[in-house]
Amino acid sequence: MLKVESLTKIFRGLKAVSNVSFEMGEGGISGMIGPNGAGKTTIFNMISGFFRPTEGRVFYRGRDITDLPVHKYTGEGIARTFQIMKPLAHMNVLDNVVSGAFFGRNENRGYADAKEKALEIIEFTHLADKRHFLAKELGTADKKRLELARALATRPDLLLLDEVMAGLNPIETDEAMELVRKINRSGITILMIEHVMRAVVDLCSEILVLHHGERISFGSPEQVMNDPLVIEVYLGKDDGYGISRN
Amino acid sequence: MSKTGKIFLAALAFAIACLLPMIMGDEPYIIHIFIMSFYIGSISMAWNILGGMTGQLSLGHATFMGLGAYLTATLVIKADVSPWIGMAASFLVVGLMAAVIFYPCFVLRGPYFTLATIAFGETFRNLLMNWPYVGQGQGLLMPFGDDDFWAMRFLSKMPYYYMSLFMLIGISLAVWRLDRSKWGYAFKTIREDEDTAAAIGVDIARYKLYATFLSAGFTAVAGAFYSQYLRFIDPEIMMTVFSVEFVLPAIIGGISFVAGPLVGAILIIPLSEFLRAHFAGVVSGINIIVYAVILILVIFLKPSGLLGWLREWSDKRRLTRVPEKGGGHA
Ligand SMILES: Nc1ncnc2c1ncn2[C@@H]1O[C@H](COP(=O)(O)OP(=O)(O)O)[C@@H](O)[C@H]1O
Ligand SMILES: [Mg+2]
Repeated sequence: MLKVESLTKIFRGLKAVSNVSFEMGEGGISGMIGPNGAGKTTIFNMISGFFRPTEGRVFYRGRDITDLPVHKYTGEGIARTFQIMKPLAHMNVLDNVVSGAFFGRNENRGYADAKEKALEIIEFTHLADKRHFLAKELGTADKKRLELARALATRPDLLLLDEVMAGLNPIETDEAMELVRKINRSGITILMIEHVMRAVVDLCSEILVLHHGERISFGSPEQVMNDPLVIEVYLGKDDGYGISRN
Repeated sequence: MSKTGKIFLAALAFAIACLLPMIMGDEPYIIHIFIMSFYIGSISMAWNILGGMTGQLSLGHATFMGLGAYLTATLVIKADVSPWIGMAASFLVVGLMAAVIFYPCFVLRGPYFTLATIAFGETFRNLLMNWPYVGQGQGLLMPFGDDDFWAMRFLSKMPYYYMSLFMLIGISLAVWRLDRSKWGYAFKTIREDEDTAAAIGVDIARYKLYATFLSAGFTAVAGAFYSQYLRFIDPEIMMTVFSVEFVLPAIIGGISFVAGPLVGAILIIPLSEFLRAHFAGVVSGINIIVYAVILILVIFLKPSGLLGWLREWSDKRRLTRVPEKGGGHA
């Protein structure tokens, strides 16, 4: 479904992502892990059109989408969330989701349709009783859910989730995991960046490990967790960043 | 407020507005204040499409107003075209002009965009100042004559009262519809966060273009009206102070509310006209000082404006009541 070919991104001499390739099939949940600054978000930005890769291509359903303008991606069925949450702060929860429901792969319909679609998704993401709250008034867990809801409203086939569990307590993390599973069961392929190891191991069927912009491992959770290179990166003393045990 | 409550309030306001001149009788000065309120309210409403909904704070709207006024006046004087046609032409021509001229400015954010709009306004004002065809600094005087609907020419202020009222209602209805449309949501999403807008699939440049077109177009329509109502225009009408005057009602009422400019205009314009009439001899420019003070107060105390304050208050009341049961669909 998604194929990334030798993706490289250089920011003013800094190689943030270096020659990363991977492929993922339809229907599953894949994970991307690695220490802070490993280049995960940068890869997301290249897959979703926010950054042009310095080198390499991105293929989606066999089509080269690397040079598509950024607003065309939801029309192709690719939606994303942001690690640094970007709620539509002065709009309420319902309007946040309605915005998504007017775009992406939704046919051009009126407000009543968009609202109906949005209410469905708000119900699905457990935000129904907060639908009149302004986005800026929500707590972290609800803000993360709202990011998800707005992305879902564009009716994607592929959902890119950038650390949707960061900053959640264990109970909220469980709820978020359940939601991700539910989204996946509804037929949406998921690629998620996540630091919460429990979630990654539990949810993902395959995991890509990045370090200093390079792909150092790829495979099932067991394979990856037993990869000596991965163990060294996470437990070695070369940099202070570890995996949050949440 | 409930939906029926809102409709009732709107109907009541409409009925009062229609009957007002009959109640007031022949008070040209009072009628004039109302006409100015409706006229400035219309432009503030139009400004809000770009400034409030889309978040691109323009201080160039006096220019769009002036361009509409000049285009219409020129058509009337030089080509004997009806101002009604001038109005429609203003919408299209000025809307398109604004969209084309602002297009390169869209990469500018925040105050830089605002500065560009001021520069744009000054450029046009100077252009008209020095263009003999449109009378340079002397401006243009509309032809005299008997009352004539087709020529939008009336001795009494009454027809202008209704014209400005219907103009305000028309633009308000358009904005109200826009607010609930795909375009409206694109505009608001851009205002809130351009990255999020792009991520859900909003073509930012394209929708900013639409917002500019509509905002400038409607403003030019009001400008066309202005030229026929006052029957005299000069480049002074494009001064940035007037742009500020157009922005004020929206900010006071609340720029994130469709009715914000309406509420603001009803409160501020009569006050400003009163000050201008009674104190202009004593302290010239007093209305501008008062504007500045009000603006500073609103921005510091309640940036969401009067309606924002009202909503917070009613939210608080709702939250202290027993919560309604269930989280079903609204
Ligand atoms: N827009 C940018 N400009 C310059 N450098 C950037 C930019 N975005 C990310 N980087 C750099 O690229 C590297 C990878 O960042 P990022 O992809 O955000 O890492 P991760 O998401 O894995 O924590 C970091 O060193 C970061 O500072
Ligand atoms: Mg990141």
